[in-house]
Amino acid sequence: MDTEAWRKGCDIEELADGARLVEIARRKVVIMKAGDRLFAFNDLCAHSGGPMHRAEVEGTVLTCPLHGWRFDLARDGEELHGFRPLAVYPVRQSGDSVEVFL
Amino acid sequence: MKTIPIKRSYTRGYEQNRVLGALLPQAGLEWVTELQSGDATRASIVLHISCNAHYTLFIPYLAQEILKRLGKSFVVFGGPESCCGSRQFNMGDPDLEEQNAKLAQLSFARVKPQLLVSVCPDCDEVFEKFRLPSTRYEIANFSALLPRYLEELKPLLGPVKRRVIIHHHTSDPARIADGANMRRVLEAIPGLEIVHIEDRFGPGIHCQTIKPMPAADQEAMFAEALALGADTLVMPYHSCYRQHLKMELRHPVEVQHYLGLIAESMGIVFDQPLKKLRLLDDLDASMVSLRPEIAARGYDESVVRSFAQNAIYL
Ligand code: FES
Repeated sequence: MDTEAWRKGCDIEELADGARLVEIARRKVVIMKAGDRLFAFNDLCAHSGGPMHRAEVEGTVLTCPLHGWRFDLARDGEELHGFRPLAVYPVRQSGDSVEVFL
Repeated sequence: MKTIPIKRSYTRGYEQNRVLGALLPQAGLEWVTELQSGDATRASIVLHISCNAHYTLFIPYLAQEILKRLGKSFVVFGGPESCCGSRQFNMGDPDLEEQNAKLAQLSFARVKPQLLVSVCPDCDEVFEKFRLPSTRYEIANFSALLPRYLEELKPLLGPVKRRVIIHHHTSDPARIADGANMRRVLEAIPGLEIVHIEDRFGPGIHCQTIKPMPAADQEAMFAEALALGADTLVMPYHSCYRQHLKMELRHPVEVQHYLGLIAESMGIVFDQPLKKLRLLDDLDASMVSLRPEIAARGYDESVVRSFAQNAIYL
């Protein structure tokens, strides 16, 4: 397993019209801007690996398109029905880049 | 990789299933939503509860109780967590439909069943369409199960004094078989009089959602039932039951799911909370009756109201 480190995910301007699905350290990660906050999370839903890059987004809440588990990014990926949380990763802007700690 | 649109709307239905399922619960229904790999549960039959059956949980409950009395080894599995994928198909996402259908089949396989039975024709259809070769179990509608156990079932059936018409669907051989299986079991109920009619079938594979039965056909079906002296219209699926039960407001004919008649014959007591709400014929009054539970669960009443409008009052 790679040592964890801040790694580039995408350019900040690429988030202007939505989210980006990227691969970082062999993991599929979604980077998203909600308001002025940045979030990065696993593309595989915590339930059965549904594609979170196709989630419905309402503010900071993501709904998985397969079975409707709902994750609040502002609460560390907590599942709102009480199921397992979504894996969220530390993310930051560094110049024009967005970096994810993975 | 490509930029992703951030607004989609096809998952609202699951919230509707979960919320109304919680507000219209069925005591005694013992079901799991997930089985982990390595779980020790084993069962020869998986009884699958589909998403929309959450509005009428007495139906899977009755299936459960019938299997119990027959002494079968089974597990009740379901909820949105094992959705067949028809919802994704209906929202224009066939790739997600396939993914869901396969995930559900893999999760059923964890209990190593010989048979997967569902109460929903959509689930039957989607699981067959995306059949995983690695899953060895048979897939069937619950109605196909009962004729197999008919000799074991017969001693458990007591008399039911009703004159019934059977509503069914004829869109494909599987649905025709469901109708025939349902009839075969109902014929075994002592005292039940089945009035034969030729063409009281609904559109597509089930009524209510995508293709409801046209109002004129619905009226004609009830008028014929009355003319023939029937007191009950028997429904094969939960969706047909949901579409037609409001007709009880205007016709002295009871709308009942076929498992309801088998349960009556076996002395199994059950409740129909969705029917009670619908027969109030007043969304406001329905909301008043749900209000304590809505408050206890912390739901947003306006959201619940829109769910009730969609699923109960459409
Ligand atoms: S895979 Fe996401 S809710 Fe099931």
